[in-house]
Amino acid sequence: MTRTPLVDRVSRSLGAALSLLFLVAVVLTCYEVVLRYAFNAPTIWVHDMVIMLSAVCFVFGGAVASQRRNHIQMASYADRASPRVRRALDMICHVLSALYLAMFLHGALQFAIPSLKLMETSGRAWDVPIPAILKAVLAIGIALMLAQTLSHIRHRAPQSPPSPETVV
Amino acid sequence: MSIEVLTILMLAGTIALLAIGLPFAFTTGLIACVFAVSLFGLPGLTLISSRTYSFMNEFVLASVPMFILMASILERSGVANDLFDAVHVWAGGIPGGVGVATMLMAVLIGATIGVIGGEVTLLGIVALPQLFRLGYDRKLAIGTICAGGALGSMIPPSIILVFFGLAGNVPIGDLLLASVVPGLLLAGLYSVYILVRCYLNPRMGPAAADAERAMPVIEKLKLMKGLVLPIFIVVSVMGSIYAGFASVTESAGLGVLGVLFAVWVRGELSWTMLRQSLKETMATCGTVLWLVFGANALIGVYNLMGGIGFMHKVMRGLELPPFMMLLVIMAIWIVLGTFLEWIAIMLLTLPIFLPIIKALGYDPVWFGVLFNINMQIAYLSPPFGGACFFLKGVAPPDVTMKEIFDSCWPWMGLQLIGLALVMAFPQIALWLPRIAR
Repeated sequence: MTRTPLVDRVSRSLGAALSLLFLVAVVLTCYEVVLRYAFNAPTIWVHDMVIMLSAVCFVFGGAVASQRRNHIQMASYADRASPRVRRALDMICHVLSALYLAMFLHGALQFAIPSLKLMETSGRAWDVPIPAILKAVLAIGIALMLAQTLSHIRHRAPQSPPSPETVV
Repeated sequence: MSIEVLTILMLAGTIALLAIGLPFAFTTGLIACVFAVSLFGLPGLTLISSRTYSFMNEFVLASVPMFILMASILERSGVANDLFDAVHVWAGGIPGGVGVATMLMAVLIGATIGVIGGEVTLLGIVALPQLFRLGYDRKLAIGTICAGGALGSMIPPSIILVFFGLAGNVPIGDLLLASVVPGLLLAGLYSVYILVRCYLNPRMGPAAADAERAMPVIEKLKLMKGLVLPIFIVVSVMGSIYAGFASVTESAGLGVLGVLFAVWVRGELSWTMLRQSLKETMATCGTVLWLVFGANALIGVYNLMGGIGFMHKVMRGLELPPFMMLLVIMAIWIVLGTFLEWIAIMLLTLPIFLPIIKALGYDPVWFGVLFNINMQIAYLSPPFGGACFFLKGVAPPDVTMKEIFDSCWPWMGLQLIGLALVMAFPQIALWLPRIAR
């Protein structure tokens, strides 16, 4: 029995904790509808808040999907390759994924840092630094996903989970 | 380098990476980043981040996790069992009756959830064993589940239409309404097909045993209470959109609340179940959204290279009459649907096709419905038929992938008929949104 790598545990528990935000988003959305119709008092903040909560989940959901190795692949001819070739291809794929994430991370940092320095605000009715926060979240989420992919490389993890699970 | 050469390089790179098994999300993203850096230098990467950021900033996108959460909770409840009990006792003594009841159940589930995964899984667990038990022809039964399950994304709500509206800037409420009648049309075609096959050969779909049917009407009516909760959910979601009472995201939020209420009434709501559903939603969203990020980056970079303008010129250069152009687009979608995921197909082709369609004077809402029907075909078509893979996951172990794909051919034919009908008579789709206005 090998221990689950640290990064995997971080992705998993962070994902589990953040998934509660979906519930918060649902409650807020319904709260807004009730306020608007029952009390004729729409809020200025629920919209922006729900966008932010969902966006945070979308970004970190990537790391969760990477940890579960749930990202959708094409039913590929490479599946028919010998186990040795398949393992080599899996490693190449992990390295290519890491390369993408590293480049994406570079872009996200260039994008987030100036915004964080100014604590850029949304400029909407509810004028809070959501843009600065979200841009930082994007960079952190990509970094976690990159760490997750590097951990897969280190532990020689195969590309797909033992029982392939597709979604949607 | 000319745009022709760049386009070919991009296409070849994408195919090569997909072929070695790199997931879609990373393939499209990597190609986008590599081309961005080599053509525009490092600032190209910032552009990709900013595109991703602005995509995340749409309120309507928040409806996607809510629709997924609804499906995820319903999947863990017994609502589907009750639904099957309620509809199949009315099937009567005619051959194929239970098959049609299954299709009716598929429509009802389709109207409560917006993704196919949950629906195929539910039908595969609840209805397939029953059809097998009755002695239905295996291929007919499997096809019923796959085609019926795919209706999850055809009958609104549907996350395909949410993304279509977002990517193409088309009103999502109209898209959802426009999909209702074509969805029912497909279900009708499927039901007729089941009945005709079973009429010609009654051994393909035996009626339920007399003992099962000899239930007093009052008992049958009692089973109808299994229908109440799903219908309540449908009314709370679609009703609120239809009445213009709530935006798509708000009605999705109300839908989640409705599902939670329904499951609570049934005494099935537990913290563990809710946590499981939420975690599942998180992983699904991660997969879907990262696919979107990658494809969105790729098409953004391609646009900056002048690729989209180039593709427009190529398409216009064909000088096809409008309807032929439409047929070409449908053919491209069907081919892409055999091996690509719907999100990738949508995000990569819409920026090219939609302006052409608008220039030809076609209605983008109708075009969205056509896309949706095409994806119904894509769900069944090998080698990458989503519905078939889902069914394999829950079907009895002796059902092989090959048997599932073999079962789907006639149903794809029916989908083509449905597609042709909606193409020939756009009012099938456009009638409902028009009267709703």
